[in-house]
Amino acid sequence: MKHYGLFGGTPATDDPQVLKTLDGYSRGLSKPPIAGASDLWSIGRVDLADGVVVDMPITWPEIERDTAWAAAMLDKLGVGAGDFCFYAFLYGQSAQFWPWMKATFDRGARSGSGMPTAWDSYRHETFLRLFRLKLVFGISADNLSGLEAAGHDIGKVYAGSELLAALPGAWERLVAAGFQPWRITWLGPLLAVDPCDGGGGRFDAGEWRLEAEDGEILVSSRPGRTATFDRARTGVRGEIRTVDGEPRVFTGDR
Amino acid sequence: MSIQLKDPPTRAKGENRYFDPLETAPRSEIERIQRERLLAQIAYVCERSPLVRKAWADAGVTADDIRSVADFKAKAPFIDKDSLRAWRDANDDAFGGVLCVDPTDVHLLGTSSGTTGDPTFFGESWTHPGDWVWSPREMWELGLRPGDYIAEFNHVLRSVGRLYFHDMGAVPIMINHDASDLPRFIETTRKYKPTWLFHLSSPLIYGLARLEAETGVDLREVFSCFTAVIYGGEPMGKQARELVKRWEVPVYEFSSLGDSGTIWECRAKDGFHAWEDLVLLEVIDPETGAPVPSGGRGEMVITNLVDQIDPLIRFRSGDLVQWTNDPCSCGRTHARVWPIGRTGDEILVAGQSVLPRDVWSAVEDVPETASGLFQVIRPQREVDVLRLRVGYEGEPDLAKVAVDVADAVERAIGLRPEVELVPNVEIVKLGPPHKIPRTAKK
Repeated sequence: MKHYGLFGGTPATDDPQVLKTLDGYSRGLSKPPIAGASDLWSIGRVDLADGVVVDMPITWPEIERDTAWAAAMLDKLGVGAGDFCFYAFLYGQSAQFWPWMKATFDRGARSGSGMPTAWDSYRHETFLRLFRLKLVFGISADNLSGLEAAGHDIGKVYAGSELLAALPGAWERLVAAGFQPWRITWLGPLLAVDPCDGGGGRFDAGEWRLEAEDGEILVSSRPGRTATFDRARTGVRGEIRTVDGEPRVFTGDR
Repeated sequence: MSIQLKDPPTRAKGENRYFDPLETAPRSEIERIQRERLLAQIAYVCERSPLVRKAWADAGVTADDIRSVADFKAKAPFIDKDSLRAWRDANDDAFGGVLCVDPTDVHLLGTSSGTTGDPTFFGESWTHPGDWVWSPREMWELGLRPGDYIAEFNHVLRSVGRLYFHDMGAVPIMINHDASDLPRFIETTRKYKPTWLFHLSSPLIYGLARLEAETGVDLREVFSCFTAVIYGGEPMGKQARELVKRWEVPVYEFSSLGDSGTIWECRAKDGFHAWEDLVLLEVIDPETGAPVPSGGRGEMVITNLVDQIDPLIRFRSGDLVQWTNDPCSCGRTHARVWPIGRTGDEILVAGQSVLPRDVWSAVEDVPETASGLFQVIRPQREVDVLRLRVGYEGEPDLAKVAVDVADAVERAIGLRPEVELVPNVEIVKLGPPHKIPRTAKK
């Protein structure tokens, strides 16, 4: 039996026609070659200002475009084949985080994942203790509080990791501990990634338009996104400036 | 070109219920496949897995000694979670000595919940045909079809659900496995009418009951669109069963197959199916290691027949089960098991064996603790006094509730416990999102 019936949506088989159709297909990394398979990748989630939560339907082509942008960011971070990245996110945030994991896989790097919660901080600590991580992406204030509550020294836990990318609240604490983390910020449906090089937060301007009104960042979707946003309030304070010919977001009170 | 499955992607469920002809293969065919795959797997693993190589060398057994499944059962040494941990600690090997490929072939490091210590690492591949945790067979049997929406409560301990639902062409509605996300579940369910839910857990059922009490939401209406609602994480307690029955939830349970896959109920709901073309299932007496025949109870031992990344070979799972290899009324011919508990959860109180399930119903019988959120305090296997940490709802007279719980447990098992009461909203924080660790060291 050349196919165990475990992926590709097909039973165990050695039918050459089926095997040919499945050639090059890897479980869930692209739309499966099954009649009736949805064009949608998932219904994701978006958190906007004032606790408003909306759905984010997202298609396979949109995931591919988002993966391409994440890949460009991984280039900037210097992640290459053989590296090991750890991503911290909640399942409801998968539409935004999966492109990062997919881009990690595409370049021959490995990944692990955990949650940005206090309870799950022990998982972060285990990964950081047992592996040399190139990148820890998505560190939250709850992660740091969880580590400290368990008696860990943040400075020691993260010392072995080359690159850190943290959410507001964690970013400041890591800086105070002597690290130079990248700062990542949720802006409704997207993540902005700031290398903290003075050039502001990078975002995918081909997919999203950001503007500021009364000091708050508003987000709109570009044509071609299934989930549409029109000047949706993000609840994030900041401004948009042009740097090196592209829009950048400057957030917070730093 | 796309693959046309037998049952076209319509909403008409129930026809062509078998996804794979192997599900109903005669036992002789299953045993032929097992032998063929077992011999190939042993040759492969004994060359590559340092832990298995050492265990077999210590036992004086080689791959050449195994010519049949019977040889294997008679000669192959066991490994268990302690073996993997010891190897990991002694050799600085996070995979516990079972990795059979170059680390660069591992695309993802998944982890177990890790409720009782460092999580177990699973080397996972996006591309390897034998790397599996779920098979499409159970999804098909329980009515999932390409194009369906799934309300998916999940966490990311093994990445984004390992993409099995994407692989089936279905669309997950991604919901955090957290009671605070239940209002979104209700909203999206009314909007998208998903046919599947993966997966309910004790904390979510507790959260739904609380939401129902606070808002009056009609949960029968919410669950009316589902063909199957999958429950997992731990056995379902009496109270949870009564709630899902009242809400008319078409619930089916799944559980772990000794860290080598999963076992699921079919629509006959008469045991959990273990796919024996993918694993070799044994059930043994946990004390003597002697085989337990079909119909008996013992510890589940698993050998993965198809995974070539980090296969477990004769792995003592610590899961106590009842089992049978009699065919199921659904027509499937593979073995079925009924989970009973974990060997590691057993506690000897003044010489009397107690498992969490033994006190579960008693805790649920007290109205203030009916959610069944509790832990057995197990600093070591043998103790003089049974101690329980029990979650309660509302603002009751705590002294009275403690006495009521102690009385109920004493009536059930003849042992009077010491009871520590904790608000439900606090006790659910003591574990991962999808279950309460039923034992705690302190």
